[in-house]
Amino acid sequence: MRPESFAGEARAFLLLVDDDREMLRELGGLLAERLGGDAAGVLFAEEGGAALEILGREPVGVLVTDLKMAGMDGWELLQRAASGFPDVPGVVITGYATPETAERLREQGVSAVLAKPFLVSELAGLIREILARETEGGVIRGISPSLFLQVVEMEEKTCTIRLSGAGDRRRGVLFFQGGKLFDARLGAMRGERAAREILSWDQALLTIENACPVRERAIGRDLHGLMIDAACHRDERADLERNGRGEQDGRDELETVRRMLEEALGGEGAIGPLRRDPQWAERARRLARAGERLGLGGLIAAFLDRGGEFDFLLRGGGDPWVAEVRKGTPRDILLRVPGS
Amino acid sequence: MPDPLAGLLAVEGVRGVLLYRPGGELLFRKVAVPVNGGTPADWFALALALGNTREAEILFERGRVYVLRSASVVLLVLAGLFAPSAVIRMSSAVLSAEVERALAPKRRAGGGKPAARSAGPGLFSARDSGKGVSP
Repeated sequence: MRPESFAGEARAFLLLVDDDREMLRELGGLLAERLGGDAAGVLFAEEGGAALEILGREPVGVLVTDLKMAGMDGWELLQRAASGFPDVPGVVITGYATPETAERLREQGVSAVLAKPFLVSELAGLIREILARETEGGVIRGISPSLFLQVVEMEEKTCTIRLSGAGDRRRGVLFFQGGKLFDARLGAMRGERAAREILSWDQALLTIENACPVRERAIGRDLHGLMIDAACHRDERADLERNGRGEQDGRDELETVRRMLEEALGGEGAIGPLRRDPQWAERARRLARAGERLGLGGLIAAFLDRGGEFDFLLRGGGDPWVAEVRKGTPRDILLRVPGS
Repeated sequence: MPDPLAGLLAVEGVRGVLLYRPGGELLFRKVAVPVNGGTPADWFALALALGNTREAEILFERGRVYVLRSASVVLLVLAGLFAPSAVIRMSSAVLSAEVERALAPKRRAGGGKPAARSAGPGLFSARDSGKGVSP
């Protein structure tokens, strides 16, 4: 379904999930009227799976869902959303709200539970209140993220920082606990990869929420190291744009990564040529799917000993590659070196 | 003698251990919170996705999984991103060898027919009787 849109591109969307299509449209229209410029618009989904896809694609600020739905129900959606998109608060609208249900939902991290029937103004007020938390710590325009984040680190702040890159609709989220970067999210991408991409943005609109829902650290490297990586990433991108190359030359890219690996290992000859192979790509996709099902997030890399003359390093992501590795090569180093 | 399973579970950052027969029959599972979801079949699917692999270390965005396959068992160890992988590999090798020994056909004194296969007493204590802990 197309979104009910209104002004404010830098603002987040409201995602409304219910399998009652008529109700969804009516409520969406009413909320769009009442929220005005407080949200970028209202997006719709009729079941949990479709909602998760939207969460991975669009900058969503609040998820409002029914519990009982065909396909993936509200319970599972909320659980998966809390794991994959912890910065997106959930609101439940249900016709079966008992005190026990409400208690259970709150324990799961749901921000509010509204029993049907409810006043649209009541829901709109709740959403406005939740969206306002995103900016409670301030809004900063046109700043280089790297600069500001060093201040966050120095002041040992616990906060959630949302960044909108200039000129596009992407929205990055950085989670800080006590000044340490615990995790990052860019669409469905999480962890170090997402952080590196976000930190490479030149200018961003930045909002600060004075709380962090992420408790478990998913990023092992310090901010400084990530910023250096991000700066390299930005320079490479700028070079490509300057040279008028629309896309990277795949072979050059793989050779660069191979050289990085050799360098990290401190010698030549440990890594064979990196190649893109359909069978290995399928294996990477199967591993990635299994990992997603288990709540482990995307596949970064795998080291495999298949009992042959060589071991293998398989890199995940959108365009997986594989390389033969000499036996005895330190796998910790192999797994740590960035893929691109 | 130290309990190799307890040893592996005690390694810093280890969140869970699962043991299967090569066909997928679950022998043991202990997976701690806050791991989300995942039935034993989902975990075994991870091992299956590796195909004919003897040993693998898989790095995901929110954790790592170590897989060790031997003749009679497939061992999966779920760990955090900062867990000491060398210690996990060593502890897994010890556990896998111990399980192999426990599952190996036993011969009666004087040589007779092999005894029925069993995990043997002591290896899987009451705490880890195969029911495990749900994630």
